[in-house]
Amino acid sequence: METKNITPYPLSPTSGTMQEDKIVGRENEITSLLRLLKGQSVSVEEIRRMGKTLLVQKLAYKCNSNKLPEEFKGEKFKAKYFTFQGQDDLGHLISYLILELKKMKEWYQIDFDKTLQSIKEIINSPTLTFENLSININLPIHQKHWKDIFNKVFDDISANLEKNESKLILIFDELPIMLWEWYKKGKQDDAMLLLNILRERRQKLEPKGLRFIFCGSIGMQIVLDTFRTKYGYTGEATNDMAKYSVGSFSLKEVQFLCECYTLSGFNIIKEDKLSLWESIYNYSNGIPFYVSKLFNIIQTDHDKNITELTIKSAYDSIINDPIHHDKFKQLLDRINIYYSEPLVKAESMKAILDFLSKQEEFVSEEDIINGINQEEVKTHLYTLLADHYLLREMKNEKRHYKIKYEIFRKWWKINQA
Amino acid sequence: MVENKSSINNTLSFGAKSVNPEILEKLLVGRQNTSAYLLDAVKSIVNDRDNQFILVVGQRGMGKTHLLRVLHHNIQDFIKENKIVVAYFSEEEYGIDNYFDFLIRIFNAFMRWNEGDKPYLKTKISELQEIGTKANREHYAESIIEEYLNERPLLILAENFADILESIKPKEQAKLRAWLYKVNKISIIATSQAISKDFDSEDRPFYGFFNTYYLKKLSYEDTLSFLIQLAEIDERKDVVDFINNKGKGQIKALHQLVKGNHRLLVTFYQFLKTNTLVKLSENFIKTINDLKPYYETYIRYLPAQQQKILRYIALKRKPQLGIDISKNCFIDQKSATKGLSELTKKNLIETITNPSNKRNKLYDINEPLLRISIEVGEHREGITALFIDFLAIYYSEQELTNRKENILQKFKACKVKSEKKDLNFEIQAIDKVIELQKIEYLVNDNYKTSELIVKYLNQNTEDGLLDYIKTNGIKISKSVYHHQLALYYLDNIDFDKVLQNIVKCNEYDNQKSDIYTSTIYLTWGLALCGIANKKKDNELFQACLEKLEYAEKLNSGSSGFHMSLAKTYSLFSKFKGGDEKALIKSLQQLEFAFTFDKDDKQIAHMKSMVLGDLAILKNEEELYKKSTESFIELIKSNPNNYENLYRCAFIRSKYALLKNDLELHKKSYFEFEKALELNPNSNNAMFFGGVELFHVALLEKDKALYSKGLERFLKLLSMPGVDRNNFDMLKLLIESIYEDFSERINKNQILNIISEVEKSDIDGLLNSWLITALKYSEIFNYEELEKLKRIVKKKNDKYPELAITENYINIYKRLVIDGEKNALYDLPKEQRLFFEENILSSSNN
Repeated sequence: METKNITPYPLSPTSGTMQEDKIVGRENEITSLLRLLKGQSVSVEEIRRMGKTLLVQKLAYKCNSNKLPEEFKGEKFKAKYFTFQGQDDLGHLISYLILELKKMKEWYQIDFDKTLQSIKEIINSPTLTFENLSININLPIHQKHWKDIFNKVFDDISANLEKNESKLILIFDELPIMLWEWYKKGKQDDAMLLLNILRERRQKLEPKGLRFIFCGSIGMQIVLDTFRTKYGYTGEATNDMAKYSVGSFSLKEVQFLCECYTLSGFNIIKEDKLSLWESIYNYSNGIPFYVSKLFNIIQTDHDKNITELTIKSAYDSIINDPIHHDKFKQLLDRINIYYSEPLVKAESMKAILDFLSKQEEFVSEEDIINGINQEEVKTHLYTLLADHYLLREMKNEKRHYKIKYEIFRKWWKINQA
Repeated sequence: MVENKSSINNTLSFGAKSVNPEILEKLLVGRQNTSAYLLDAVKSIVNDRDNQFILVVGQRGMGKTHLLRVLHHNIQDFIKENKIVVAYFSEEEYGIDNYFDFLIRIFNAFMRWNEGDKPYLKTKISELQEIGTKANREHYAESIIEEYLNERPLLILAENFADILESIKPKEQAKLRAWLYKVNKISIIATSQAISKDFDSEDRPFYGFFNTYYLKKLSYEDTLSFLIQLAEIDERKDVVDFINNKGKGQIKALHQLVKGNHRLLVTFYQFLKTNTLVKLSENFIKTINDLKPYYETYIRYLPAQQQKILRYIALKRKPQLGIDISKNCFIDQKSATKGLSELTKKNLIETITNPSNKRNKLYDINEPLLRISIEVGEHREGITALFIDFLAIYYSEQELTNRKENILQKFKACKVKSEKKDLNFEIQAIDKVIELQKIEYLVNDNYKTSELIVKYLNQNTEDGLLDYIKTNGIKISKSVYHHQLALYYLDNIDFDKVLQNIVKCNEYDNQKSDIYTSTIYLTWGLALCGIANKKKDNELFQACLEKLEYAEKLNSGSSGFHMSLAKTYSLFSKFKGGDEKALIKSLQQLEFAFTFDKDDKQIAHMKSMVLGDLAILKNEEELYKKSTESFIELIKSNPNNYENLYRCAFIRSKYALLKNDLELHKKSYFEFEKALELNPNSNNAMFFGGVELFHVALLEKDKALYSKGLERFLKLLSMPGVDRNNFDMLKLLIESIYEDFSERINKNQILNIISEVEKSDIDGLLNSWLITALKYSEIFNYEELEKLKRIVKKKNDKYPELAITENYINIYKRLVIDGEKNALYDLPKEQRLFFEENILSSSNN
């Protein structure tokens, strides 16, 4: 673990973005991901605010700054992070990708200008060139050509990868949500086309060293299920990709994060530190977002004094005070937004969570079915499991479930059930 | 100092941005911590390369602009040292329509605060104007900013950020978010009046992205310091002295009135200066009129439905229940709930727990001044009523009395007619306020008071209660006193005493509060219902319904009223021997009750019962099914509840009887048995279980079951509270066993029954039971017959007709035991015939 070897640095308990070299923890996850990426592409899924983006950003940073563990040195990993939020359509997406890829010119000695020239010829649209700026090609009305352009760019890159025996990881952050937005705007055909092309590219170019990470807060499964049900989509867009779910921090990682936060100006009695970090770990269930929130409340409401009492009080605020409910509301929103067709499905999922929120231990599937009197409980349990709400365990060859994180369970029990 | 004064009077109240930052810093009362927090955040950007996303949330006038202005002032050194680039947006950044506009505002902000870079930035903007497509423009604008930043971090200071996000819509917000991730050295410290969907909805790009910092309202102490600071800047030593001494009471009132809002305090600071003036009303009206446009901005941009709700609550002048709001605004309850939740989120209304029913929330306007502003122009009594309200908050009773005295003297000395009129207006207003303040409204204290009264009355009689109350220092109005007594007696089922007290309580109820009066009428109605049920009095039932309906009309916001009405209708139906209309009305009331809490088990229980009654009355299977299914649900959810099991069995047994259905009788029997397991002392479960056993035995002609039933009713004889029905059942069983199996009852058993009849208050049945004994029992011996005769003799005076029965016993002895066949002829003909038909037909066979 890197956290063992490096010294804590001052870090404010913030949310939002963070400079890559300051991202705490996730060393084990990065190693696991890279091991998977040696052989195939990966789909990273987890609900919002669990630290997916920071994880993949740190992965990219480590790949590109030669900070990978010894076992990966031979792989010559490079990585490029893209965030797909706000990409209106295929045209915007492709131009964004090409512009960003062009910045990697120095990595692969690829003359993207050639590609751009060919694109220019294809679409024959007026463009402006500025000294340090690449052309931005806006393609919405030339969709029939985008596939050629896309293929060309990736062919060029992959040929280079093969030549150099190196690997390039393209990280597509928020891909599922972008596809979902397209679907909502009636652009499902574009979405399905993109999925097919990506699969075709992956299958063809993975052997040459190209890898993808699809990263998203909503699972690809939600998108694919919707396309299957509504439009008869039959593609297996991600079945050849490994699935990876981001968990919470280990106690050591939480300790390191706490040390960093403390250095930004918190007050603490040194001797109590370890037990206080443990409390924070327990209250937050190791989810870094909630660690940050606890520190934030201690900062604003308790004059930056970290004690058992202030930690407990901050935790109580998070769980009980409606002004902090936005930190959990996604648990409800996700169901309402993505599973409300038919409505009874969402209701049934909520009923399951209501029921499980009152149980501290694993509950057998049978007891859940008997306890809530709803239809298709088994299916909905599986959906909740796949969407990271639940944990499953087999006891005496029977399925048992509980809510994944205690902090979620408590919030749901107090505020929803 | 002229500049300062003008700042306070004209500028500060509505635009902190143009006030000298030093003055603003002095006025950071109650916000020093927030200011330090924000400064620390900027330091972490500069020193530790952190990115900060902070959203400061607070209502208008709570000092958001003030804070950002001070922050901007305090970080000037960092800016000058090129450690950070700051884009400080204007307070009202109108017209940001998309992501590109947002980027342009960053340019504008750079140019506004950095004169030196203006020419360079202007050139870049002109290049931007040459670019044809939107995506190209966005990309180029991003790159210009990134280039301008060079290695420096960027801090965006923006006000009303929720409005900005709302204008640019989620799609464009996503672009902004993507850019923040891409550049990775941009921070945003923003303010907002409230948290909007864009910050707390899962499908929005900025979900959970910001650390939210809620501004707290100023405490009373903060308010005091703030006003002293204002007066000091204003160089008004007299006002400083006034605040520090006599004025503390007023400041408290002012604090309550403006709820710790900085900007309003500045406005009302003028009041402190004019405190010694007589024409307070004039000042008040002027201030309110000045504030009106300010408050209108709160309301103007709300959806029409929310405006309607806000206006309704404001004009009602007291907390309102959700259901009333929904009814009176003609909005369905779901939309009303949504609207109320939105308004609460926007801090425009506050949610209060209803003291009389914790499940039904009350809603009130969050700021007194917002209410007053809405009322101006709307209230039929015009501004006078508002002024009276204001005085009541602003002055204590003593202060008002002094003030009135003061003005009276001025009035007497005044010669100018128009001035006299103004003074008179104020005197009248003060009179009204004094009257208003005398009224004690103690709803919140009622629980405590009630506990004390109950405690006292449980040990003493009512006589010393008043002294007890006085010595305990309880302040209580006469009306509340009698109401508490009425409630006590209602609990103790002394309905007459409830009525005595409720009449007095109504007499003294000068509080005219709908909620309070409704509880009086509810108590009244329930007492009448109790009496009507006891006396089986139709008129009393009608009077009861009248009271309850009135109570519900006054306060339809509680399930309790509807449940009381439902109960009354159901009792009324019972009294009428079944009344379909009343039962339907009862069901309707229960449906209303459900609107408060669809999961209320008590309502569900009652509904199942009423449905069952209706099913039996109408002999309708569907209703019966509904009733029992609903009971089954209740039993499932709470298998240890006796009442649910018992009532379900009861409805089923009645229906089984109606349909003469063996299976239903069996089911009902088992349910009674289960209920009995839960409550082994329940006579009712035991009795009706026995009845069901009898029905099953009867239909199946099962002797063992008959015997079991007989044992059950015999056992019941030894239990307290046994009634005539038990004896009737015994008789029925004895007859049936004889008729179906020619089996006679055991002599000891029947003697036991007779001795119980004799002891009970239904000893009038003795005659009939003696005949039964002679007819169905095993043959009595002399001794046993003597015993029967002794019983007869004991009751002879009370029931002279027993003389004939005694004669029958004698004839029985001679005829059945001694075999004296002619004995029969010693009876007169009609008695002989009776003896032959009713005694001999079995006993001597």
